[in-house]
Amino acid sequence: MIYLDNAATTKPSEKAVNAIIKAAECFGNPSSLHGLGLEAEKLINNSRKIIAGKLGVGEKNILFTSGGTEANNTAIFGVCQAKNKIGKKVVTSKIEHPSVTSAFLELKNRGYDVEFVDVDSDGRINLEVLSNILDENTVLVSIMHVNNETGVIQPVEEISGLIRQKSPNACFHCDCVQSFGKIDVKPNKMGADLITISSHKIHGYKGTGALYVKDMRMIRPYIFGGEQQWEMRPGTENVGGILAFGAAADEINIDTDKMKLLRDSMKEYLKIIPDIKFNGCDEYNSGSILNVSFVGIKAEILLHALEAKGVYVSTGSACSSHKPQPSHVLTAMGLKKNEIEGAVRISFDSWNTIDEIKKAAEIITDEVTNIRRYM
Amino acid sequence: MKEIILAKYGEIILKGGNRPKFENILMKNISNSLKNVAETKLRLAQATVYVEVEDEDKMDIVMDRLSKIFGIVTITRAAVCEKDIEDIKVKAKEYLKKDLKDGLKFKVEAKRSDKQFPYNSPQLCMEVGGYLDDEYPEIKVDVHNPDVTVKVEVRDFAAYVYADENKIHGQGGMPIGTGSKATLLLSGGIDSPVAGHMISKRGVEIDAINFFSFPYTSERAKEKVIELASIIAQYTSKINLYIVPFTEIQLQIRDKCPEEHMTLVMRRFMMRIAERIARKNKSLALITGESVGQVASQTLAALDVTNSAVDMPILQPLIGMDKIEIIERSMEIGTYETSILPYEDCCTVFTPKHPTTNPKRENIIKSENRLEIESLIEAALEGVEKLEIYPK
Repeated sequence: MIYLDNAATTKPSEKAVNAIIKAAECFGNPSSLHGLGLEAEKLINNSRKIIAGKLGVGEKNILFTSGGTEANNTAIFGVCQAKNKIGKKVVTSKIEHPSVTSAFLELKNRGYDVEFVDVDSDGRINLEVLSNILDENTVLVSIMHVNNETGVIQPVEEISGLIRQKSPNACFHCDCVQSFGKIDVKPNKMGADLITISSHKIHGYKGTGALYVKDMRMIRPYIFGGEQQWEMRPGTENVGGILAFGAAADEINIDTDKMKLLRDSMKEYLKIIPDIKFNGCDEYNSGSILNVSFVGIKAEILLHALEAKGVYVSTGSACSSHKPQPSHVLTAMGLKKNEIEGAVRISFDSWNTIDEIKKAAEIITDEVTNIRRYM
Repeated sequence: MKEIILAKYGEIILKGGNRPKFENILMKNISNSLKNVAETKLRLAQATVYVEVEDEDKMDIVMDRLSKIFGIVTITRAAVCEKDIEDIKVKAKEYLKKDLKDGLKFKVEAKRSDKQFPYNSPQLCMEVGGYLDDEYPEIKVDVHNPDVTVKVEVRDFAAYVYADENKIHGQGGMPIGTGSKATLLLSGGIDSPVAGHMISKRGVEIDAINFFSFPYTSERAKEKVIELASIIAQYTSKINLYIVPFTEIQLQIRDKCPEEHMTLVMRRFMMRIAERIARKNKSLALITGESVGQVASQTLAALDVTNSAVDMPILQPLIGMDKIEIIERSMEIGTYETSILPYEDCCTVFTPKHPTTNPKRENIIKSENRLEIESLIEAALEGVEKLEIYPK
C-alpha cells in the first residue's frame, strides 16, 4: 500500500496508540477529586503542555475540542458572540474548509454582513481585495494557513498586518489544520488571535482537535456545562484522544526539505503525462499536497483504479468527495470544468519514501493512460 | 387493558381449495418477519391473523413489520373484550377515550360472526352506541357522516373494539413463496427496486443481480446496491444478491463495437448472464425496471433487441408507468433516498453520446459478434460473488 492521502488523515503513530491504551488503564475522570482522577488530569495537562510548547504559547490558551470542525465553530461563533455589540461584519475566504464556510453561511442567515475574499489563480488570497473589505466594523477574519486541496500557504502575516491596520476591533482566526506539523505554526509570529489544529492529521487519533485562544475573553463559550477547561469548553475530556494528540505532537519533526523533495519528485515524474495541469503554486507550498488535473478523465474513476493497485489518493477534499459538486477551491481559482473534474489530490507525509513516490508515479501514469483509452 | 393486532388478508380467501396452503405460507412469513423483533403469539381465523404482542412497547414495530408483509390488506390495534355486552361497553369507552374527542360525530358498526352471542349486529350497535353517547355527552351520533367509526367485532375467541380510522393499510398482494422465484436486475437507480417490489408483491420470491464495473464504479456504489437489496428484503425476508464483475466486458465493447451500439450490446450481455444465473438457481423469469421510451435503450425497438438475447420470460412491471409515478412508488417503499445517492453506476460511465433509438436486431448482433461472447460470459460468471442480504 502506498498511502498518499495524508491530508485526509494520517496513520496513528505507535506512541499515539500506546497513549490511548494508557488512557484506558488510567480511566479516572479528570474532574474526580480522588487520586485516579488526579492522574488523568495530570496526563491531560502534560499533553496540553506539549502542544502549547509546539505553538510557543501558554498552556492556559489551549482548549481541547472534538476536532477541527468544533474548534473552527467555537472560534467563529465564540468571537461573534463576544463581539455582539461591537459589529456584525465578518470576513473569510472562498477557499476555506466547509467547517468554516458553513459557519459563515450560518452567520449570514443570522443577519451578519459576510464577505468572502477572492483568491488569485495560484490559490492565494488577494490582499488587495481583502484590504478593501476590511473596516472598523469588522469583528472577525477567518483565513486558513495552508489550503487543504492545494497545499498553498496563505500570506497570514500580511493578512494579520492588514487587520491590525484597518480593523482594530477584529479577531484573526486561522485554520491551521493542514499546516500544523507540516510547516512552522506560531500564532504570535503569524499574528493570529485564534488557531485551529487537529490531531489525526499529525498521526494522532480522530475525534480530538484544539483551539488556541490568545485571550479567553475574545470568545464566549460555544457549549455549556461543567467547569472543565475554564468553562470555555465543558464536558468530560476525551482523555485517550488528548493523550494521543500530545504524543503525536511530541513527535513532530518538521522536515521541509524532505516534503519538498517528495512533492517535487512526484511532479517531475508526472510531467511526462500529456494534458495535465498542476494547480496552485510551488513557491508558496507546504510541500504536503500536490493537486493535479488529468484533463478529460473523471478523477473518481482514476482514484478507484489507483486504489485497486494499492495507491491511495483523493479527489477534492475527503469531506466533500461524496457529493458530485465541483471543488469550491478550484472553482475559486478559475479552473475550467474539465480541469476540476479531473483533479486529484496527492498528499504526502514525512513517513513516505522517495521509492514510494516513484512507484506511485509509475502506477498513476499507467492508469491515466488506461482510462484515457476509454473515456 | 389487553390489546391485540388484527391483520386481515384479502385475495387469499379467493383461493378455494388452495386457501389453507396460502394461509400457511402467510403465517410462516409473518412469524419469520417478527421472530427477531418481538415475542408474539399468532392465531388465524376468519381471514384474520391475530397477533398478540408480549411486550406492549413493541406494538409499533410489530405494526410496521406487518405493514410490509405481502398478503395483508389492513392492520389495526384493537382492545380485547370478553364476549359480554357490559365488558364491551366499558372497554369501548376506556379504549376510545382519545378518539372520541369533544364535538366529534360518531357511529358504531358491529359484526357478529359468533352467532351464539345474544345480541345481533343492529342490537350491538344500539347498545354500544347508546352507552357511548351517554358517557360522552360532548359527542354526537351521526350514522351518515361520522368522524369516528367505532368497530365492534364479536368473533370466535373474543370480542374486539377499535376505531376504524386508526386502521392502516397493508401491502396487499400475495404472500411471498406462493409464486415461484424470479431474478431482478438491480442497478443503483430508482426503477429496478420498484420493479422488484411490484413482482414480489404478487408472491414471487426474488433473487437479485448487480453488474459491477470497478474502478468505473466504486465500492460505495456496491454498498448502495446492497443497501437497496436490504430495503427490498424488508418485504421479501431475504435476498440472494449476485455481484457480477463486468469491467472486462464493458472495456471490450468499448474497444470493438460502434459507439452508438454500446448500450444495447452491453444490455444483451447483462440479460444473458442474468439468464444463466437465474436458471442455475431455479428462477423462472427475469425482472427489469424498463419503462417504454424513458431512455434510448427503452424504445420498443431497443427492448426487442435486448429481450431477444434470452429465452426466458422478462417481467417489466414499470413498462407503462411515468417516471413521476415510479418515483412516488420508490418513496412509498423506502428506496428513493438510497437510489438518488450520487455514486456512479456502470450504466452512466459507458454512455454513448448518440445512442441509437431505432436499432435493428441484425445490426446489433453483427456488432456483438466482434466479441468472444461465450468466453466473456463464462469469465464473468466465474467471478460472481454471492451475498445473502437480510432486511435492513
